[in-house]
Amino acid sequence: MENDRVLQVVNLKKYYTVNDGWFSSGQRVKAVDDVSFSIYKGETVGLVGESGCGKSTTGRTVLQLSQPTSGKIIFEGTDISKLKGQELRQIRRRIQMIFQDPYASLDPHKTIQQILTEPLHVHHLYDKKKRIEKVRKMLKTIGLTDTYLTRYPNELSGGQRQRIAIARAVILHPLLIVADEPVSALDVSVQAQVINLLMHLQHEFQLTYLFISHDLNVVRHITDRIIVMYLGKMVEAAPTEELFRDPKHPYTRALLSAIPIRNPDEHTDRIVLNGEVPSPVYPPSGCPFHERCPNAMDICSKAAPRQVNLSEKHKTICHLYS
Amino acid sequence: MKNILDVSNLEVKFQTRRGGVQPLRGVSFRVHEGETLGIVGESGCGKSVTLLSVMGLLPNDMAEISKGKVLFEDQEITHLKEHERRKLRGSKMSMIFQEPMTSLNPVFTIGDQLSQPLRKHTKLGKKEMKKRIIDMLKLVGISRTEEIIHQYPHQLSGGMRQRVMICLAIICEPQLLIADEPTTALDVTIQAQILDLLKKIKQKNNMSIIFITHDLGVVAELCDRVIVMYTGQIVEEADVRTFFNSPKHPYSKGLLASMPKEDERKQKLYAIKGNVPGLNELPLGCSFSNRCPMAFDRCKMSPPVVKVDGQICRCWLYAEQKVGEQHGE
Amino acid sequence: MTNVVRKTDTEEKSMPVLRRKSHFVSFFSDLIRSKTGLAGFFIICLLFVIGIIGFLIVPFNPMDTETAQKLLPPHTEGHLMGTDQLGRDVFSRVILGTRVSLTIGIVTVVLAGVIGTVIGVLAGFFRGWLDMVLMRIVDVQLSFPFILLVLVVNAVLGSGLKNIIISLIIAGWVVFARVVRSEVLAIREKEFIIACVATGVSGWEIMVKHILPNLFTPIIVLASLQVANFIIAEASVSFLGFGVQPPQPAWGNMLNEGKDYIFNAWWMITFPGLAIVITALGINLFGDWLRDELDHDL
Repeated sequence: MENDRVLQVVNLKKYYTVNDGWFSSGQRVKAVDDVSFSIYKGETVGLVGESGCGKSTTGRTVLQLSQPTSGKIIFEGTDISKLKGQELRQIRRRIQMIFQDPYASLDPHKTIQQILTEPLHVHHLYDKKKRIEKVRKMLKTIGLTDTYLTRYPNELSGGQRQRIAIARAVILHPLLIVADEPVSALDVSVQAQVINLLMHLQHEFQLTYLFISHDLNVVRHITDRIIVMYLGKMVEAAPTEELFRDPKHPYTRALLSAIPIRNPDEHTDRIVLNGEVPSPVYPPSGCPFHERCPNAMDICSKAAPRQVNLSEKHKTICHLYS
Repeated sequence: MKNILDVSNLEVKFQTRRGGVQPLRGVSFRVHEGETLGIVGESGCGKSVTLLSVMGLLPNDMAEISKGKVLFEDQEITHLKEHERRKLRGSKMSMIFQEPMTSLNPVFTIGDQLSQPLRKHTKLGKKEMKKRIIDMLKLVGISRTEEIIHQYPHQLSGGMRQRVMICLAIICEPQLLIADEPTTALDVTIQAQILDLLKKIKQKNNMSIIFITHDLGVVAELCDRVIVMYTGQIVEEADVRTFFNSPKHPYSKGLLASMPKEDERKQKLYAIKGNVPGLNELPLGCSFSNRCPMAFDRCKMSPPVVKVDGQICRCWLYAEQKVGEQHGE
Repeated sequence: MTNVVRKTDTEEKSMPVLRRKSHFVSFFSDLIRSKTGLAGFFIICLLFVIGIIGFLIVPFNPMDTETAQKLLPPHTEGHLMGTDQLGRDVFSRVILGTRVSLTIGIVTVVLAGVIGTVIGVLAGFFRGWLDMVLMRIVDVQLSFPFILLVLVVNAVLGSGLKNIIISLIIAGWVVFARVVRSEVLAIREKEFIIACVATGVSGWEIMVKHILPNLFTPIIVLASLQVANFIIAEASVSFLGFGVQPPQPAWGNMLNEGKDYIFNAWWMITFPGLAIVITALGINLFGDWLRDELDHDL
């Protein structure tokens, strides 16, 4: 098991300072606050939560697109949070990213061939002829024909663009792919195509995914394990089926119950939460969820809860279980 | 049941710098009193254009209603002058948009913005107006009403703003509320709150709602009847149970089949092939024929609109079926 | 079941793809559809033709003074636009002035554009102290009136065609730097740039291969509009007695000479003035159209 560990995130913190005036000193926002998790080879880990919960920041910090304030990001045994320059660029070959908006993630002035050969070029892989051969093969894998090589992104539909973005991430045969809401911007009929493609590529290239999404139906379909975040903190982590069958944290319960039903004949006992996610600039004391929590106790506003291991794989951070 | 809105054979043309396109190609539907009608479709299917033309909010300089009628309470409204329109908008029919930030004016307080339609459409005094605003804010689930009316839009969170938008839309108690993806920009727990709220208000005011969305789950939650649109046409219309349990049109079937299911985790999803075609590159005949798994010869010709037990479907597959035939499969 | 079904089986092949007409063809078909853009384009073409072959079509040598023929009104003795106080043919001088104005306009825009772009890209891409320093210089320079700055620099350097070009560049690069910097700030936050970083593309490569090509549109639009500004600036400076010196014909110094005769020889000031107006109008019409066109494309 230990050998299969691809990524280990240890006590990751990412704080920002926001300026709310010209002369006042900035306010500190704890975008990610003390998050730890591991990802093992070949699995898909979902990172879910609502806007502002820090899931995207976590993803970008894992990729070293922003520097963590503190904590370790151990990838294949090395802490990459301290790497710079050439060493970091070498690691980038092994961790890739897929973005939400396929209209923004492709350079509008480059042809598909240029976009797809660039990663190979950057890492000095193969000669020119072999690169193009690789690109053609990749296009075939993602279900597009060679005719697209000379096209520009604005000649493609959203779904086709997202395929290209996925191909760009996969062409270096990375170990880990961070997918940040990869299907949220797509039309419903295209979403299923892209999800199928992601699963197919995982199988073919033995990929490991960190799948960031707010769409719980999609997450349930594609992931093996799920990490739920709320206001910069991890609140629960469990295997997907177990989480959906038996959510422990009151927030997870509310979140799962809020998923729209799939058929009008279905019935859910919805837990409608009061209020909204508080501002991360002024997070509540103690447990960040206590103000909205239907099960809140006295202690919840006073002390921050600790992680409780309910089983080997099911963890939650809540006073109810300590 | 009384019809509140009757749209028949509506066609809209857009004139752009690169030539003309026709985003609506003959759309007919009705909205009954007190019902929620869901309009489902993907980008470019014409769902937003339909509602903008009902509201009279199409951009004058490039869009034109080239054919068809829109009857609101039995009154034809496509030819109304702008000032006559304004009398309807906000009082008898109103609209909520997807992005609540851009639909509220940032320089006015919430109270100012909420009193505007009241001043325009009612003769309430100042005190009565304030009372009405506060009652309505309470109705949409805002508790700190006295505070909120003095605040500006940017001081509110996304969910709060959407509540204010809804409050603004229903403050004159309209007969028809048009909602254009009002929950798409919101988180699921907030979405659940807003859907809950809409259900409550609808029951209380006996209002009709047209709800545009691409999320079938939201349709299942909220709507009584569903219209599916594809490339500017209605391809299927059915009551919500019939739609989810026995969809007729291959496109509707595809949409429903591609939703991930609990018991099929990790398995290949059903996916409709290809992409939504652009309006200037539609295939001949049935516009879905190039993606349709059931397509056959006749699909090169325009498909007929077939009516089966109140379920309406634009497809050649059902052309021979008689009205009243069993639609279970 | 016929080939309709079979075609849909290979998913992407059957899909009609938006195949754009070649850039060149679509560019001109759009241009023809726009009245103002087309008018601007024609004016610019005409100016170029005049600028290039003007010396072949002039009826008189524009430098030749003939005091006996001074201050002739238009349409006398073959002088289409009359003569000036030294008897030189105004028409010939306006025609040859075209070349001076176009040369100045284009050369200054190219050089000021290049300098401004390089500085703007460096400031926007590296941020930090470099950005701070460069942008304060820009701020200081922008707080001077443009013409005043050109005059001061020109006064230091001395008059003449080369020096007026240099002064215009020194005064003009800041506009490019400012616009380019703000564009770079916007582009560097785009996901496709972040995607490059995540792939391991180095900073320089991102700047040259990804940011620079995406600046093309705003720079071209700005440059096309700046040409008119520079031409007007040159005329103003020459009008004030700096810049291009007589007897070399330039629209600006023709105005300067004409202003003393404004009441008894209106043609001396009217025709070079008209030339400036038409040129600036043509370039602005075309530039405005170009902006709409290129915006639309992306």
